[in-house]
Amino acid sequence: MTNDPAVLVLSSLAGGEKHGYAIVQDVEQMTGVHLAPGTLYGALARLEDERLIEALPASGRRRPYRITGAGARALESQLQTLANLASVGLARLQAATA
Amino acid sequence: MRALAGAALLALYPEPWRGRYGEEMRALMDDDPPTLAGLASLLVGAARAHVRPGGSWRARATPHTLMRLSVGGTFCCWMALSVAGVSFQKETEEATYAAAERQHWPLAVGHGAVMAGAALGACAIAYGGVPLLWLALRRAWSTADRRLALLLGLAPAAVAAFALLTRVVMWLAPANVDHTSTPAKLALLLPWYAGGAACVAVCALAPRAVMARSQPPLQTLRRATAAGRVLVVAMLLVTTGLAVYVATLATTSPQLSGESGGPIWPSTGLTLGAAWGLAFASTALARVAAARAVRAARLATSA
Repeated sequence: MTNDPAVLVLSSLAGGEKHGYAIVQDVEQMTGVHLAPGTLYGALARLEDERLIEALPASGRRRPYRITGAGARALESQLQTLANLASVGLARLQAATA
Repeated sequence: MRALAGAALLALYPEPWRGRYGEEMRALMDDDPPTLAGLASLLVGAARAHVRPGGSWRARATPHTLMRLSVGGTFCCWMALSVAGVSFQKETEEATYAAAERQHWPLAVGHGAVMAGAALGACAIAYGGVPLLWLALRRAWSTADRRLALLLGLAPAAVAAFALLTRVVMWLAPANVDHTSTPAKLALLLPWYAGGAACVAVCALAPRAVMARSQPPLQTLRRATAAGRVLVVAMLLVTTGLAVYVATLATTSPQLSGESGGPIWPSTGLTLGAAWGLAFASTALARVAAARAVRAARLATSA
């Protein structure tokens, strides 16, 4: 789930509007995952279709993207699931090693 | 160099996709040249964009463009199926297979279905594809369009290059293949397989590029759309025939199915099974592409 390109892109855009290369750099800094061009644009196209992000006017050859309200809600829900999973998993690990 | 390879792979994406994301992706690859995994992601991304096109970028294309793309896609699938057909033909050309077909009628039925599908497909290509080719040739001649002429020459050039590569491999091959080590066989065969795959890719993709350049009129595309539907029937025949043949060969003639199917293939059965897999996948994709062409033709009519 943490490697889901859509979640990674949404998490990156939650910090502000960014174009493709800025998203790649931000995601790599956050998670160590390097998004390949085909993967990144596949995710961007899908998120745009689902109206979770929107494209802004291009500046030169680069086009920045911004997270929408629906995108922020979808991201929050995904991250909440991840947080629950992490807390349950950690608690079970601690119980097993105790 | 890697950015250049990435830009070349971008050409595999659907035209409306390139119109929407092409420039941004090129800019990204200039900033961050793709690794080998990145290049592979472009291949996978292009395939996914063709198979499961999204709404927003596809909506930008006109019905005419969608029709042209879908017709090109159907022809492309036919090329892939042709590889399966040629493998089948090469594997079963020996007299022992003809004898087995005389003994077991389902084998003869399977073979007959493959041949009937091939003949029907050839007729469909002649009906729908030849007018497109003729139009492109006329356009290249009348407008002195060098780029179009170059695109038209791509497929024959690829076939000629592959024929030359085959001659070189045969010249380099040792007289007794059975006593040659597997690495030595692979050293000869892998470049040959890669060359074959490149040749098929060029032959499959060149017609799409030619159509994009020559912009065939709606009437010619309608004819090609009808041909595409027939092509799908032909492909279904080939795929069904192959399935019957592979299953019957494995059950009635296990010694034939199990014998070496080539210098590195473990068995004929496996080769034919792989051919069936390729035929099945290309038929499924052709069915999707042909249905899309029909939908686009309806849209073009109502527009």
